[in-house]
Amino acid sequence: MERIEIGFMGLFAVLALIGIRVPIGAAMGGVAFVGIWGMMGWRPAVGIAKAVPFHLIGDWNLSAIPMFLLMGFIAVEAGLTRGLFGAARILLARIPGGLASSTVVASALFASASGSSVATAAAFSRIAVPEMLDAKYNPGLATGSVAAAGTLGALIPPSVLMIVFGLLMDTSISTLFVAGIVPGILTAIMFILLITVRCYFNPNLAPATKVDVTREEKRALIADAWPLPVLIAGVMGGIFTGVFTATEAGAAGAFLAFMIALVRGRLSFPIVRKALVDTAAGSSTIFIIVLGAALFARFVALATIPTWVMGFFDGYSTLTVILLVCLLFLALGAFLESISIMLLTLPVLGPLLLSHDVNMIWFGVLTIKLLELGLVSPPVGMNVFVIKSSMGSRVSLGTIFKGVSWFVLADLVTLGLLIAFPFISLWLPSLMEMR
Amino acid sequence: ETFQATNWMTPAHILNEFPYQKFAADVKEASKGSVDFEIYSSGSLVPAPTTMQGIGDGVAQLGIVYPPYNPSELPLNNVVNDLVFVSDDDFAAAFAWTELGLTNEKVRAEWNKNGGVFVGGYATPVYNFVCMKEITDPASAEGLKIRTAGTAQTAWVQSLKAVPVSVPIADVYSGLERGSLDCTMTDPTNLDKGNKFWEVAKTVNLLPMGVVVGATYVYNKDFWSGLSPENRRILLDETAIGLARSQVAYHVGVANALKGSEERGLKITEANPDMVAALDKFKTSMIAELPKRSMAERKIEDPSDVIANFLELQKKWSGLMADVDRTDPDAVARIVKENLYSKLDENTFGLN
Amino acid sequence: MVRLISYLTQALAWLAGFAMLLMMFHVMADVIGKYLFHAPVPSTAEVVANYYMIAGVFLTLAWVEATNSAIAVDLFFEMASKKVQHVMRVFAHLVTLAFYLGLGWFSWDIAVRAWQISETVDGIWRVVVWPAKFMLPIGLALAVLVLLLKIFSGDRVRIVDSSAAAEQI
Ligand code: NA
Ligand code: NA
Repeated sequence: MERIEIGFMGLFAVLALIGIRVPIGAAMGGVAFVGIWGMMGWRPAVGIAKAVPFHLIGDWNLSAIPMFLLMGFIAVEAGLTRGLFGAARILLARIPGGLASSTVVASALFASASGSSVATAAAFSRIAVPEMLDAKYNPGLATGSVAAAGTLGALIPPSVLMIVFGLLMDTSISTLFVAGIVPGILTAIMFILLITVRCYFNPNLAPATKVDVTREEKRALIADAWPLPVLIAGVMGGIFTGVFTATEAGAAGAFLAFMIALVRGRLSFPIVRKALVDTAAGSSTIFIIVLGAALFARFVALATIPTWVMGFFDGYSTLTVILLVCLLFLALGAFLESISIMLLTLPVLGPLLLSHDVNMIWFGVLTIKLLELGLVSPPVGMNVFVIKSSMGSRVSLGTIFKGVSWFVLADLVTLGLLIAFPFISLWLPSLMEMR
Repeated sequence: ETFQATNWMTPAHILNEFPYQKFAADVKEASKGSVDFEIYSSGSLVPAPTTMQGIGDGVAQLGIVYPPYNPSELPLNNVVNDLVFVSDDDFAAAFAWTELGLTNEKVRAEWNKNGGVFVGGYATPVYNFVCMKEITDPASAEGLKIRTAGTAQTAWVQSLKAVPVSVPIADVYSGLERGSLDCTMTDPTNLDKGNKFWEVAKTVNLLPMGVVVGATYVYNKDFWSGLSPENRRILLDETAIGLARSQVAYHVGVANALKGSEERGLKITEANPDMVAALDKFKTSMIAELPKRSMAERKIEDPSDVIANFLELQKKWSGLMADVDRTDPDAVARIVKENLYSKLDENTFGLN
Repeated sequence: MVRLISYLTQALAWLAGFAMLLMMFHVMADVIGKYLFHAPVPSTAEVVANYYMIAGVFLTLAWVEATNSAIAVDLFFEMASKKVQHVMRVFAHLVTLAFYLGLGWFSWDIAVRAWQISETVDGIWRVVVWPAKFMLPIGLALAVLVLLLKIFSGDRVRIVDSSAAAEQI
């Protein structure tokens, strides 16, 4: 049998296994092993299974993810975030779906401190979803807005994905960072518009929150809102003044959250222990999928699927190539984890895009945006899984995917704008160049 | 027949484009398709640190191995990587390192033990200081936070009373930008390519602080012995060209990077005489201490013979390279072929 | 037996949690050392990557299985009958078991090899990494035991109670 045939069989097998509720990491990893064995023989299959796990997980750059998880858990367990949402509830009460919109705003702020979308989603699934469910929000809207808002994490700098893109494509990381800011804000605005319009026409989605608080209570609530802004200011300030790097920012954020919780007298041994074990367990559930996806990415590469895909792009115009690449990323994003997708495709696509004279900063922003879409698209949507893992049985996976599908539509519009108007991405970097 | 080759660098990197992409195309043509390497770039097959293991296990039949990733598996090769801190000619270092790997029995045995056949290696361009603040004489380096890689660089920076910092290469750019690093030791091609240090750095000091060597071509043992002698001949000959092209690309790359940096307003300074004297002193004591330190830290037999062998070969290659046009890959390849690969017997090399 | 597995599962999870705490303090010490004292903590990146990350992810695998928090898609599962659901559950456990057993077996090989050559990584300090490589087979083996327990008890045995765990001990 040809390798490409085994490749497509493997894709099908993974879908089937995931469909009958085999855990995603095990499904991808298992199929990858059997597939590589079938194509290349026993020794290469074992060789890859031996070579990949330790060095994939034991990576300094990935350490930002558990640390941002810890920051989120501490922030929530120690009740540091309640105040902000109390305040947001009042400030945005008049807007339909105000709590969901304030989640988007807060996520965007948090994203500017966090290097990763998954970490942003992880933090806000603890912070925002319970607040919205308590306020009788539609569960799909509540979880969907958090899953979608989480995708701002990799678009608004710092961003682990942009670092990987920059390294793979030989592109300036700092320029990429700057280029992500405006598209990130645009994305947030689109989300807020979507929430407001949906909730205006269907008030059942988000019951209006009552604002019958006294002026004193209002003042107290707003005064109680300081921890999260301080946390964000600390992390962002630290990054932009150069006290720490994007990778170190996770640990710094967690440490700052600890300090704030300590100052507010909210830190107890059981709280700390629960936050720590939850952090490790949350990391484990995420990284076992990353591991499965990474093994599967090797299988896909050995099955010559990237070469097969390249065959499609022969002789098309630049715009067609870009659009086809977008479709490819969307398709891969349905199944694979973001870093694996980049490892798999960029070495193949890089020369093609350069031959078409594509601006790599612009393309980098598009890539991140597309990979972000993959984080919320079924069947493998990392942000959705993170929310599911923190909500347990309270919300089903289907509900979250359904809730987030509206945001996916909004994102496709944003994506269209980014493709049609490259200056959205390139305007800020051009200012930097003139400096 | 298709085989797998793994290279953890991007396809556009000098050590991928010339010795892998171009090489694979040439080998395929020369062997009329009987040896066709599929290249897996950017570590998409196995992660960089496990390349040696992947080659030994037959995941890939060919790979680029950087010994410092495997200090415990390749201790003797790492002694050489410590030693090349004393090199100030990248061509001589590259070909001396290659000849050592092809002919020194102890070094060959080490590759063999890991299931690999070493066929050729590279040396990066000579390392310089790329800084936010200016480094000139030894006093100016005191207290600066300098990014280093490897034991020799670290010891040298410590001897200057500076602070050696070990951060991943990906963090160096932001480290310089944000002031958590004052300097990095790097080869000048990192100014414009890959890490693009010229976007943030202010000064370059051309003090020659050694090179870094790696194995460009390591084959799986069974694959190598399973090839026909004719195909082994083709690979050996193409290796000479692949190595020459890489070194020439590095050489040209350095010139361009320095020229471009100057145009961008970076201050480029020659090595200061006091600094050169301090460096020479450090190099002398380093060579003297290297055997003892290696035995203690790397738990190996006395490597003095290997060290002497390398230094002697390096001298020989400095001579051979003296009058060669270093911007002409064909001229360099001719010298390498004549003095190395034409002397290897494709019927026996690497088979035991 | 069940109590032993339960005890080990919790112990490894807390060890992993402790590694998360150490990671935070270690990185912060490095940052503070760099800025205030011109003295970074040597080899921070190497220790974080090789020890804390590995401990956090692999020592918690058994806990993740015991608390049923491995991520799966239950779209069709929810539509299926009780009987079919039971079959799907056992099948999923078996696939996961095979995956962990394979990884555990291979990683045991790797760990032994690393131990035999006393594997280190070079940084400013030489960091010994071979002990870290044993965390993979240990974590995976315990996860396999948990899965076996779940399969043979028909998911009836409660190994750890994630919500109560924090209060109990
Ligand atoms: Na971010
Ligand atoms: Na997806």
